[in-house]
Amino acid sequence: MKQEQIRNFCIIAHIDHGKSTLADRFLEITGTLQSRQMKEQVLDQMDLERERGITIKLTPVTMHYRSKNGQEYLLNLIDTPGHVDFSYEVSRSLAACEGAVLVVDATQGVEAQTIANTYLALDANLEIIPVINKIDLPVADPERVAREIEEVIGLDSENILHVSAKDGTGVPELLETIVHQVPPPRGDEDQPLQALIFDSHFDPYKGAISYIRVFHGKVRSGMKIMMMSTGKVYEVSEVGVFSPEMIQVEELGPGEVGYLAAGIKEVADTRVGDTITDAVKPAAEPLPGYRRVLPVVFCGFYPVEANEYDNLRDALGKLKLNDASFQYEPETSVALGFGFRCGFLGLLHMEIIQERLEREYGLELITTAPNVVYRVTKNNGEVVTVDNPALWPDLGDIELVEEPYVEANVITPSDYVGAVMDLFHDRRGEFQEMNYLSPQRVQITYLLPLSEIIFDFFDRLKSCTRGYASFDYDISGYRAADLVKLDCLVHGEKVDALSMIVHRDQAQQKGRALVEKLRRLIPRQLFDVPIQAAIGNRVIARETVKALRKNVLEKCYGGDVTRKRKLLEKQKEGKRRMKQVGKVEIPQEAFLAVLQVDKE
Amino acid sequence: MIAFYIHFPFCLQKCRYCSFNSMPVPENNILVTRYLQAMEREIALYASRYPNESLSSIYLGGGTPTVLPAESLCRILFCCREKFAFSPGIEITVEANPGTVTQEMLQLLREAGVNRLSLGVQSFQPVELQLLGRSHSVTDIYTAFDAARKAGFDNINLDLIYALPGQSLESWRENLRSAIQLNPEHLSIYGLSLEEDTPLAVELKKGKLEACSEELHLTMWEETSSMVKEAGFIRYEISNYAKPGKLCRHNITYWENKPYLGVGAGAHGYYDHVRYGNEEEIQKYIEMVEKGEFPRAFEEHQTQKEEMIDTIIMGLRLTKGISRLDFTMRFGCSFESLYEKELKKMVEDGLMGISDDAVFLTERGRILSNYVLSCFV
Repeated sequence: MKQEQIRNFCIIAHIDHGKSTLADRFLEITGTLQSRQMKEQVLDQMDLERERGITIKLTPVTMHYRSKNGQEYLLNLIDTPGHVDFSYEVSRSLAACEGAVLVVDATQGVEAQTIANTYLALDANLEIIPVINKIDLPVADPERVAREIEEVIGLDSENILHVSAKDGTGVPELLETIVHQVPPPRGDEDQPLQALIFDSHFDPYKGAISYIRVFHGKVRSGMKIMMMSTGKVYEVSEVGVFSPEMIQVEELGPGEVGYLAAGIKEVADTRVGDTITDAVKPAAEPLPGYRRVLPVVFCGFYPVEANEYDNLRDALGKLKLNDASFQYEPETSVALGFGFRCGFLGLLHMEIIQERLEREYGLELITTAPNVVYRVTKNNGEVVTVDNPALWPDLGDIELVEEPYVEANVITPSDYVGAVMDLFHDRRGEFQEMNYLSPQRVQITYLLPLSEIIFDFFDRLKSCTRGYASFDYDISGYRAADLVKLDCLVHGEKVDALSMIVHRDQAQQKGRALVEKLRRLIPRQLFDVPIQAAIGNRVIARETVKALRKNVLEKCYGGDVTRKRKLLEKQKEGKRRMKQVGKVEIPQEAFLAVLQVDKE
Repeated sequence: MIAFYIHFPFCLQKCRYCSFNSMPVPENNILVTRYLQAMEREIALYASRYPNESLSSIYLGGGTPTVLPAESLCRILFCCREKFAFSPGIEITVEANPGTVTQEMLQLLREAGVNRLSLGVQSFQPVELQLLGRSHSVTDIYTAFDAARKAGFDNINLDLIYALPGQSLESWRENLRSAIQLNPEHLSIYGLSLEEDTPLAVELKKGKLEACSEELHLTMWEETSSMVKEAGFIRYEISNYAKPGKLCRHNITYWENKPYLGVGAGAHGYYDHVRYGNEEEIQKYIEMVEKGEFPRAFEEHQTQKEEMIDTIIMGLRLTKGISRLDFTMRFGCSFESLYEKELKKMVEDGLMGISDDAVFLTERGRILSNYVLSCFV
C-alpha cells in the first residue's frame, strides 16, 4: 500500500482511562476482530500492573479502514508500555509512529504518567489528538478535564474530541480525525533499509522476533540484514504483519509496521531502539535515539532451598531470553549462600521478574533489599560504581559518594498536598514547583534520591492520597550525598545480606528500627542473641533476643498427639527455611526487615 | 492388650479455662439414656471387630463422669466386662470432681471394679477455684478424698493447676503442701494453658487479668519438682508424679504410643495404625451409632514416619525416655542411627541423654521439650 494511505499511531492513556476498550472499538469498526487478544507475556503481569496503576500493553495491530471519502487506509496501532521503568521503550514505540491519541478519562482528569508520555510524544514530533473518554458516565466532567488538558499539556480545548469507547459514541469521528490529522509516513523505498526495532518477543521455534517499523527501503525474507548497534548479520527467515496474530507477508516497505524473524537466538540481539539495515547495502546512519538501557535498581535473589540454585539459574536464563533489559550474575552471601545479583530498570520491573520466578517457575526466593547504583570516589582517585552494599569500600578509603537523583512528578487532589509534601520531605526531597491544574488538582515536582523511591514509596503515596495520586519520575543525574553503610551484626556475626546504604542523618533511626524489627523476628535461641547495627566499627543500636528458657506442652494425652505433631512439624518447617548465620538461625522475613524499617 | 477410654461429655458447669467437648447435664434424661446406650453399642461394635483383645486399662473421663449416677457408670463397666476379657491387674480409673461424689457412690464404683480415682482438685484456695470457675469448694476436696479412702480407694490422683493469673509463688507452694498432706498416690500438675476463646483467655486478652510471667512460671515449675520429689513422688512424665508402683498404666499407653480405643462423643483412639476421632456432637454421635456405624469424624491412616514421630514426641515425655530396643524392634532401625546428628547436638546442649537402654530428656530438656521435639519431627 502507498505510504499516503498508511497511518501509524499509538494511544497514550492512564490505567483504566479506557485504552483497551477504545482499541476494541477500532477493531470492531474496521472489522479486524471482534475481540482482541492481549500479548501473552504481558497478560501474566496484569495483576501487578493493575496494582501499580500502569496500563496493560497490547500487541501491535494492523487494521484496514475505509474512510468516509471512500479512500482505503492501513492503520497501524502500536502500544506503549505505561510505566516509568520503561520510559525508554515508550520513547521507541512513539518513535515508530507519526501520531498519538491522548485519552483522558472524563471523570478523572490528566494523570502524571499521561503527561510524561505526552511530552515524550511531543519530543518525537508526533501529531497529538486529544480525546476525552467516558462521556457516557453521569459524573463525567468533560469541561473541567478539557481545561486541564489545555492547562497542562497546552493543547487547544476546541479540538478535543468527546467519545465513549464503551458505547461507541464519537469513535467513528475519531478514526476520521486520525486519518486526516496524522501525517502519512514519508519514507524512500529506494534508500538502503532503515527499520526501527520497537519491541520484541521470544518464540521457541523462530527465535527472537523483532517488532519493526520500516522507515526507508524494504525488507523481505532471504535478505541479509545487519543490526547497526552490534554489526551482527542475520538472514531474514520471515516478515509479516500483526493482524493482530502474526501473518506472513512478502515484504515490508517504507512506513509499514510488522515483524521480522531471522533465527536470532536471544532478544538481547534485537535491542529496542536499534536500527536494522541491509547488510549488503547498509545505511550510512542508524535512526536516532538508540541507547543501551542500563539497570538502575539491583537486588539479590537467593533460593530458599540451596538445592534450587540450578533451577533459579535456568529460570533467570529463560526470562532473560525475552527481556534484554534485565541483568543477572552469580553472587555469594555469607548469610544466604549462592544466589544472583540482578539489575532492573526500576522497582516494578524487579517485582515483575520476582513474581514470574515465583509464579511461573515455582521458585521460593529470598529477595534482598533493592538498592541503586552508587558512585564512590576513593582517596586514591579511583571511581567505583557500587551496586551491592556488600562491595561498599572501607569507610577510611572513601573520598566522595554520589547517588542517582530523580525528578518526581505527582498529580494529586489538592486535599492531599500536605500529605504528599510530608512524604517527600521524609524522603529527602527538595521542592521544585507546584502547579494548580484546577482548583481541585495539583501537580507537584520534587527532586529526590532514587533510593528513596525504591522503598515502598508508591504504596505510601497511594495510602496518603487514598489512591488518588498518580506518580512519575525521570532520572536526573548523580549528586554527592553523605551516605554510609549500615551493617547488622547478629550474635557478633556480620550479616552481609542485611547491610544497607543510608544517609548519615537517618542512620541512627534506621539502625534502631532495624534491630528492633529483627528482635521481634529472630526466634529465641538457647542463648541470648545480641543484635547490633553499626557503621564501621561503631555500634549505633542494639537489642537482645532473650534466651529461650521454657517451651513445653505440659498436658499431652492420646487425643492431643496429632495436633502436637502438626504443631511441631510447622515449627520444623519454619526452622528448615531459616538461614544459619554463625550459631543463629535467622528466618527469611528478617531479610525483608530492611525494607520495612521505614514503615514503623 | 489394649486400653479403653470412655468419654462422658457432661459437666455441672463449664470451667473458665476449659475448651473441651463438654455440656451441662441435659434436663432431658432421655438424651443421657440414649447416649449411654449408644456407648454400649459402640463397645459392642469394637468387641465384634476385635474379639480377641483383652483390656489392660479402662479410663472413664470427661467432662465429669460422676455427674451421672454411679449405676450408669457401673453399667458401662459391666458392658466392657461382658464384651471383653480383662487382663490381670487391670487398672480402672474414674475421673471425678470433688463435689460430685458421695461415699455411697464411690463404694458402688469400687465394687464395680474401679480401682483408681482421679480427683480434679486444681487448687486449695477459694479465690483460685473461683477464678478457674470450678464448681467445688475447698471443703468438698477434703470430703471427697476422705470418702474415697473410706470406700477403699488406695490409688488416688489429684489434678492441680498452677501459674494462674495473679497467683504468687507462696500461694502455689501452699497448694502443693495441702495436696502432699493428703498423701495421695499420684499427682498430675499442669501449668495453666490458655486456650483461645475460653472466658479466662478473653479476660486476659482484654487486660482484666495479668498472665503469670514466664519467669514466675519457671520458678513454680522448679519448686514443684523439688517439693514433690521430697515428698516421695517420682516424676515419671513431664507433668505426672507417682508414688513407687502407682504410675498410671492407662496414660502410659498414650505415652508409649500403644493402641487404645476411644468410646463416646469426641473420644479419640488409635488402633491398627489408624488415629481416629469420634463425632463430637452428642446427637450426631448417637445417630451414627444407632445406624450401626463407627461414629467417627475423622481417621488418619498413619505412615510409618508419622507413627515414629508420634512415638518420639510422646515417648520422650516419659522420664525413662524411649527404650532403644523397643524402638528398633518397632521401626526396624535404631533411634541413634536415624537421628545421629540431632541426638549428638541435643546431648551436647545438655538437653538429652543416652544410656545403654534408652534415649531421654534431661531436666533442662524437659522444660525445652518443644524445642527438642521439633528437631525430630
